[in-house]
Amino acid sequence: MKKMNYHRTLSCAMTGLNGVLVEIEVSVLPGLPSFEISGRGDSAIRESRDRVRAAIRHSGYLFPKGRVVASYAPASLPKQGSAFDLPLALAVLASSDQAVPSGDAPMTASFGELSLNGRVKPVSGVLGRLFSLREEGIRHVIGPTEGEREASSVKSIRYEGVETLRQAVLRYSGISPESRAKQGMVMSEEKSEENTPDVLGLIRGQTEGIRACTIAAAGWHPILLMGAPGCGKTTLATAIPSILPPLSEEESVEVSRIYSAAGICSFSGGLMKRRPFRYTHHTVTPAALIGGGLFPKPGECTLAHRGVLFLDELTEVSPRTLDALREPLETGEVRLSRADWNMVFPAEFLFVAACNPCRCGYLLEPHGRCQCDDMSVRRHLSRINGPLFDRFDLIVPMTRVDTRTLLAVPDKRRERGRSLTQKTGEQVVSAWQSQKKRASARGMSAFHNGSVQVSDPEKYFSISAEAMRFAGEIADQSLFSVRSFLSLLRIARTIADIEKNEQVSRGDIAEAYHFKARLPFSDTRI
Amino acid sequence: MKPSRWEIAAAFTKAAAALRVTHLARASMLDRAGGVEGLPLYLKEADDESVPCREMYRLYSACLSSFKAECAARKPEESGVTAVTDKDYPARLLQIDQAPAVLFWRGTGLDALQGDFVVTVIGSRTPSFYGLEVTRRLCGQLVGRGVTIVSGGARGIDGQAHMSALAAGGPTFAVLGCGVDIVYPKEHHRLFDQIARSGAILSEYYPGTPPRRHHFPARNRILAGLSDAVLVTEASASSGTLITAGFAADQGRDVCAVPGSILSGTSRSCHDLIRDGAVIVERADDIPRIPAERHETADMIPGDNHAENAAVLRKGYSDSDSRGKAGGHEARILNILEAAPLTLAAIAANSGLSLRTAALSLAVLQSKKLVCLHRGLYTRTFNR
Repeated sequence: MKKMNYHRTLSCAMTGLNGVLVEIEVSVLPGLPSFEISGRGDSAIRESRDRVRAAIRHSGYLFPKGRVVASYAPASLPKQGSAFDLPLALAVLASSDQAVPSGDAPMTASFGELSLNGRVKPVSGVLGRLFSLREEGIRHVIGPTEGEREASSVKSIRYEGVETLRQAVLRYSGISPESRAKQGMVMSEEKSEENTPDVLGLIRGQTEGIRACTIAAAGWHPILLMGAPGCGKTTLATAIPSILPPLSEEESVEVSRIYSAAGICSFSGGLMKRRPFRYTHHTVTPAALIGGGLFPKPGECTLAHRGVLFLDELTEVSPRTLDALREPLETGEVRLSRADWNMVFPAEFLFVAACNPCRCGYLLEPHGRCQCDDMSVRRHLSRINGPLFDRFDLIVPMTRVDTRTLLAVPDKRRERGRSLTQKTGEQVVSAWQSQKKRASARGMSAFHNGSVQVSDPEKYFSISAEAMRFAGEIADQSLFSVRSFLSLLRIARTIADIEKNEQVSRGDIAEAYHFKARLPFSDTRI
Repeated sequence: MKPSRWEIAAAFTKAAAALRVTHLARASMLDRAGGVEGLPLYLKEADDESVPCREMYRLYSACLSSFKAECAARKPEESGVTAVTDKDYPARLLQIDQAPAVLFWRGTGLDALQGDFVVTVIGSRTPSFYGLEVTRRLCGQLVGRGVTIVSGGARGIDGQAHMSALAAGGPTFAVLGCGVDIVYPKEHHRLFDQIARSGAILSEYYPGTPPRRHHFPARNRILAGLSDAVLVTEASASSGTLITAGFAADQGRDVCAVPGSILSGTSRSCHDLIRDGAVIVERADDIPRIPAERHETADMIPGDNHAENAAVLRKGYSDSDSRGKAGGHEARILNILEAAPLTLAAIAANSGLSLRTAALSLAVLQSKKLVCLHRGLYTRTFNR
């Protein structure tokens, strides 16, 4: 009986942040020479025919004569990208008896782009693909060498990095050069980050702003920096990641997966250790902010997951874009629905925004420099719609730093050799720990004061009766909504956590009240 | 159908404005025509060399037909026209140069402007809390003395002057830089309605005139001309109130100004006026020639008793003294805010307190209503 010229390999397609197992079948049929691919591929996949044909020839193999038909299953899933080049080439070679698959081969997956001369090039989303393949029971993966660092964090998968198609064929046939495999396992250790620059210490003045950012970082409270142009809003916002605790191992994998899927991280970078900081300018579109596209791609909200999303010039952002922010701020995730797909992206970020308080920007400056009347201030700030404004826990007024403070020698802040950044970072870490303790006592996973959902804030936040009375008094006077009142208590709890107070005191409430979002108008009517 | 007074006056004013006929010439035309009703006939038949009557009549007729079409929309209810030839034309206004030949008004009429004393209260469009409070008090006191308050209907001090006068139950008049049927600024829609119910909104511009930049300085001569005294309650440097004060001085009105802090910079123009000889006003009685017979009743107005204020303040301090040192902090902060509104960081720096202690004291002061957040800055309020 004649041998069937057929072979099947496995690979992985990306949808959003996750991979989907894809079977690639190749059959060489008698007929006029042709090469066809079916299975809802995009133009990159159609073009892969030429890449694969050239790569096979340049690696010293022969492209089979006859009608070559390839099919990608599941056929209903739209597929994109060049990652299927390598599995396709392997399937073509195996179906034409130029490669002899090992016993593992039916459970071996591969991905990688091929260059015309047979080199294997990196693809995005290595982490996401590997995690999904592991869930499917795959234990052996062949891919580009550039993916080895990312792959080393995925346990119980043997990832073999290859540089050329020839090497891939060898691995596929079960021949692994031991020495190289060992070499690949050696992780170059991350340089310890003891000598991080003292970012906060470099900021002169703005004690109020630094305090507010510490509170925001400690309790994961959305924060709005409001002040004159050039007073240091952006500088302060960029300093926030330096006081945040580093990513935990789980979080690190989670964030790295997002970055790997978005194709942003450097492929040799390994896992992300620092929390992401995304600086978004006011010209951002809704799709860029929350994600979208023909093939779903994560937006800035998701890229800032477990990190900071900084939106500058908030009042200049288009209202539609701002509206899109409401859902992720409320639920911590982004739900995207299109005709072809539904997708949920994680989006638990610390929202930091900055804007001018009025059109000229000098409203908060003393000495009556601002000439904007109340109506124009109202109009300016009304560009941030009410519901979004309500979600800011902290609003920080910032004013110009005078030259005396600017030129002052800053080394007084150093205490026992620790920089201000380190000290503040430690405050934040200890505040996180006490929040975690409180949440775990109730068996809740979300622990930040800014997002925790409780029905009895007085008891959960352990607010003293005197402080609670005081809070009620000032909230009534300022006509706070329920949401605002709760957020007042949340901030107060975070402040107490920073100060290591068991109970929330009047002082904590008062400080929270100062930072609690209030529009810069007269709050007592004449 | 015969055109109404309103239509004739509107078409006449529009035609005169287009031909740049001065108010003096308009007044003499009205005089010769024997009032608004006689204008059409006069313009048609006069062969006066000094004024371009023929041209005027042609334009007038054109304007009249266009006005008739939109008249229903343009003429508010309870409105009227007063020309120089009419009896109810404000007597004080007749004394000034370029007195408007025709005044359009919306409201109850111009009679209250003939009262024994009229004060024009003006000031900044971006007032501080201090300016608003000063305006509120002085207007209250003035209304208590039977004084009619005139202002420009603008945002800020002007609006506050009208509101305070209305709150005290007095008539008040707003002189606009646009047609009386147009509400500018828009947010004063309800305020204008209230003014129209107690006094009137008036304008020299024909109905439908949009607010233009150059209308306002010209309007200021009427503001000054309608009154016996012009009171500037708060005006920072390069304020438009200086123009009104200048008109007032030229017209022989008393110019009065309320001093403010030299630190906040929000009263600079007031200080300039005082330097040039304006009367310093602390309370309504400081305004020269104010009717004296009502002083006794006027003293009953709240918020004017310094001794009482001080007592309340002391009580405020001693309340918190019982809780230890905190009261001392609060007193210190109040003292600092006395000079100028500040941010928390500035208050902390000036008082030598930590951010936390300053924030606590400020929250307590706010709950006692001694301090409020005004335009983003902590501001000292005044007990009332």
